[in-house]
Amino acid sequence: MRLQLRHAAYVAAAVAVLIPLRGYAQGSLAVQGVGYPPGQFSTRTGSTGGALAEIDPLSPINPAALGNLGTTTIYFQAEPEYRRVEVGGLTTKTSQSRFPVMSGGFTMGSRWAAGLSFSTIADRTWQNAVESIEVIGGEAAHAIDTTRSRGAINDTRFALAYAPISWLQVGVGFHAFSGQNQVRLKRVFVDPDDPTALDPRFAVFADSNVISYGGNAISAGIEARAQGLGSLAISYRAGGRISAESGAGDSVIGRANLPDRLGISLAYLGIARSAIAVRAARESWSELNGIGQQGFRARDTWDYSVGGDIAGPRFGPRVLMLRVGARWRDLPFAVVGPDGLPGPTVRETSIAGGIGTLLANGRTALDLGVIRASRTADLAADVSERSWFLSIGLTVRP
Amino acid sequence: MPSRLFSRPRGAPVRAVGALLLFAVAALAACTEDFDSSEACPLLCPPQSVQLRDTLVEGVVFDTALSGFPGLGAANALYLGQSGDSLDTRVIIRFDQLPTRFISGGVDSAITRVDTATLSLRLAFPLLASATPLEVEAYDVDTTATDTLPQTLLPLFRPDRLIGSTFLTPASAPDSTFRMFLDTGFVRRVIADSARLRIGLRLREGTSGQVYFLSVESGVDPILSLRVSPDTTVAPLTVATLSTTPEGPSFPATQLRDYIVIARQTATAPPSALALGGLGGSRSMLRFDLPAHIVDSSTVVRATLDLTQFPYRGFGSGDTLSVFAHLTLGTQTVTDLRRMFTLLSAPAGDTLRIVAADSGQRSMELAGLIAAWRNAGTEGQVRAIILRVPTEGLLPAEVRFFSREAPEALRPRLRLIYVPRTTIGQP
Repeated sequence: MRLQLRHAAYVAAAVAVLIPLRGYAQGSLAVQGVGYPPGQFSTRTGSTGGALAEIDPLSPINPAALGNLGTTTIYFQAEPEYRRVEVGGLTTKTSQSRFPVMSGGFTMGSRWAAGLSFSTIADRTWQNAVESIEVIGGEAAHAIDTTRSRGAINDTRFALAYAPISWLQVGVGFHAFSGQNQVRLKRVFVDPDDPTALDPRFAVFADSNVISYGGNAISAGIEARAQGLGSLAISYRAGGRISAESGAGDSVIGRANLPDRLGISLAYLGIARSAIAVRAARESWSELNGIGQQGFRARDTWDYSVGGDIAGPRFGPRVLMLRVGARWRDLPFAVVGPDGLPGPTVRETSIAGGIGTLLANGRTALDLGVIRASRTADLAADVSERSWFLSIGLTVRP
Repeated sequence: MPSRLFSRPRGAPVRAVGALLLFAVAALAACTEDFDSSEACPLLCPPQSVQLRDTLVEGVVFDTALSGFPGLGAANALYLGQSGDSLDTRVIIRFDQLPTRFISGGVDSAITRVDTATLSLRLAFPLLASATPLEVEAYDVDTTATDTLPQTLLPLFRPDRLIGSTFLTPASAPDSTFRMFLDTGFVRRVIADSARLRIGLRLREGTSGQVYFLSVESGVDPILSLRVSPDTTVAPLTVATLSTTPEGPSFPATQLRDYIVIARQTATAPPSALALGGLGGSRSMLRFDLPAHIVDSSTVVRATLDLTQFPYRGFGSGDTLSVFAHLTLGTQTVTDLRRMFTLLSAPAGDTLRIVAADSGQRSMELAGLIAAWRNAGTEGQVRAIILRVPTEGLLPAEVRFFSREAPEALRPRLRLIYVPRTTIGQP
């Protein structure tokens, strides 16, 4: 029996090797970087391709548009997405529910309006399982990596709008950005001959983390109307600092600025109860670059849209609003190549349509929209990605 | 009732309601979410590098071997063997209480005669492999001395105590049961004296061979069958094993209903070896002191224990043995080393299959054990493993490894491949 104790001695120095682990895989063109930006559009605006965003009081884009609220309003929206990705002849389908906008607002007298809204800036939800052969310790191992991410960065905005004169509205918004990404990673090693059996040589590697985001921004906007003709609306959001923390908030892993956004729209209001608009927006996503790991590169984006919200057929006292629109935009995050560098820009083209009507003697409004989005990127392989969004917006005016 | 309630609605509203329902169903269907987009990988799933560290540590800070497992009388089989000067084992079976009366035709009578006394034992696997007859002898080994000790028992195997002898061949045990007729006069005297019948079995001196019998612990008891009446309609009396000593709680007497005694085994392991198995039932413990930043703060993907085997040259050296690794469940509060050897988890890690006579480096995968230590935390639990073979106490063959007292190249070592703590999920 040998009772002498001594500390463990290193026989050989630790040797570091790098093995690929698809831990941060996304599996689609849309969900790269910090996630997919739905756009912060209400169902009504989304059904016009986003063209009405600058004048829609339910879309938390232009705080001056709150002046169009008219009365106390509570709004809720659901917008599931059905995505289909084809890569080299292989197809994968996903479905995901989102609740991208919730808001409430009220008027104070004839000139003031205020509102509080919650909307999704970037949704980072995905899951993958990838098989690979790795060489570990000089031996081949059959690995299955399962990775998933849940969560989003959200925008909580408090806004005030004021109409100093009958044809002009101005507004200001205060934004708090927060959210989490719950990331989980698991690697199991399986018997190459029987993938249902674990390889006894290796243990399961599992890890999880919660990335928390916190930041702020301020926005301002105006809307000028020519009675019976149209309107010009401009909004600007100045992003403040945003930080990303790992784990239980005990370590800051990245700091950056929230992207600034400048939007402008021109709307024709010459048809009763109708609006036809064009909109352009520029968003400086590259200001987020400090928040990611090395190789994280966001790109500034342009977002163009055109669409209309037209008074359609009348059913008794109800007018059915008919909406149609189109949108062209760049997505801020590209697919990262094997070299760790971002690839070509992902472009998204959408066509949209929808209807809306008042219910319950005008106390409730129901909006339904359908959006078909196609995304492309100039990648080496043949990649095709298409999504259907079904958007349901419910407005209550108590 | 107003007839308009039953009037057919106009087409447009019906279609509108239908469209709304369809829309609602489609939207609700999205509540069943499916995020998996594996088919889009790897093109849209760019690989990220994770750092693996490969470290060889001499993490064994204490190792030792203990014998005597699974314990006297606790094995599931009884090994009776003899091989020249190298091996000699005996089997002891206790019938500490024999019947003194029997009932025939409703009449209770004293046993005054014994026509036949048959000892029956069920053969265990492996059954007799050789057609060469084994001559098994039975001796009266009852004594008032401490009769679990070899030095007490072995002198009792002498001619004047011989109470039976028979040849065992495959043909003589077609139902896998070995039967031996005992000296009826001797058995009758034991009954008359209300004494104990303790039988010692051995192979005849100078012969060579081995045979396994199932023990009481296997659930198949050795049986003593007594025919006590010339009337063949009177069924033989069946006597089960019983041990009345030792008295007191220090050791369970029932465990000594049958057991083996090693009379001779020359191929014993050197004290510095980590021995496993053998008739002596050896187990080995390796206690580790591993860097906390690896075990507690990292994820160990692979942990390989490298051991260097040296050959066993004794009887059964060609046998292949399985080596299992167990976590000891004992905590720092357990100070009895033998107890640490018995507080075992289920086998963890992989299993080595080793020929006892072989030598060279052997590797065991222990990543699961490291994970268990990590989950258990650093408080209390002893980070040690027990190596054992399931045939301990049953087979003569041993597996032997060099301990940490050996030259450096031969010592146990642990190779760890681990992923240091990192921040995952950063976009």
